[in-house]
Amino acid sequence: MADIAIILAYVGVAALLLASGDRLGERAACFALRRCQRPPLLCLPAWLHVSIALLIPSLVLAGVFVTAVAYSRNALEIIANNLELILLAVFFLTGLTGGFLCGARRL
Amino acid sequence: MALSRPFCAPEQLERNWEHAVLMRVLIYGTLAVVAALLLVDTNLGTSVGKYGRQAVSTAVAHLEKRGMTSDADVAGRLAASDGFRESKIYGYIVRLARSSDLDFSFYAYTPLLSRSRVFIGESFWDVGVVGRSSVLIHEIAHITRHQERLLGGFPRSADEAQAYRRQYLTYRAVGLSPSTDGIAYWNMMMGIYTYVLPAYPEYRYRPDVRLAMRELGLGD
Repeated sequence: MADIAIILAYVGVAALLLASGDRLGERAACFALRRCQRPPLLCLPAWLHVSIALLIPSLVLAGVFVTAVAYSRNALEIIANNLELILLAVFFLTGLTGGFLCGARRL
Repeated sequence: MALSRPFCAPEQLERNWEHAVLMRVLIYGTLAVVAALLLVDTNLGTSVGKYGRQAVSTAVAHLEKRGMTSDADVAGRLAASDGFRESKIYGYIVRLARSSDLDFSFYAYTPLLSRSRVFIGESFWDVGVVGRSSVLIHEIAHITRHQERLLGGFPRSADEAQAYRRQYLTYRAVGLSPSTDGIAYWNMMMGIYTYVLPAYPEYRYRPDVRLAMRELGLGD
């Protein structure tokens, strides 16, 4: 029961980070739209926006791992030990890119 | 010029809004599915099965025989509540690393979000009962520290220092040596080098640690 409560708390934190990243990303897109005065900001098909939003956080996560492997075995182990924390950062990053790309299509 | 001037017709705005919602469903839905699979597999996992439970019971019996009753009690309670688990994703990664001839071992780990489970890795089955008992002591040190604090504390490398230290302090009592389950012994010594020596430099002067560091080519 305690385990389920901890997992639910983690999911809640992840959802909060995702939502705040999304809002921040959308705000950034709106700001950029106002600056350039030319809609839409990114003239790409929706499926490409979705792919980019999923690809960027995955690439960042992969980059962190590859750098750790190149740096030392110890660094990789520390990352593996704290994977849940890193995943929280990925949630925020996905929210940020997702929000930006959704916002960039609007107007 | 007004900054909030609409660029499109109302029907276009409506369509764009629908697009944005659909894109969010696709992006965050994919993320949620992947994250849920990862979380469940690496924190709840699946049971090790009948053979796995038997192997763990043998290691627990060995710990009891060697007088490590407190560790044997914790391990026995975990075994009784089906707390020894395995992760399919980590299993796949280890098998992939091994098929690529990478020097990679994975004995066991205690998940961050679950305080009453120990995950058994592929390498656990490569060692005999003595090596498994020693690995169990390491993991039980994690579990004990884990249960004392919410989420186990960060960073977890601090826990590794304590767990390897406990494994080192008990390895003779368990019967672990370079000739008996040497893989587990050398893995423990690598852990001593990586985690324990930075936190406890005095261990550097112990004869067995000095010898192991020389053998591993890590200097005196």
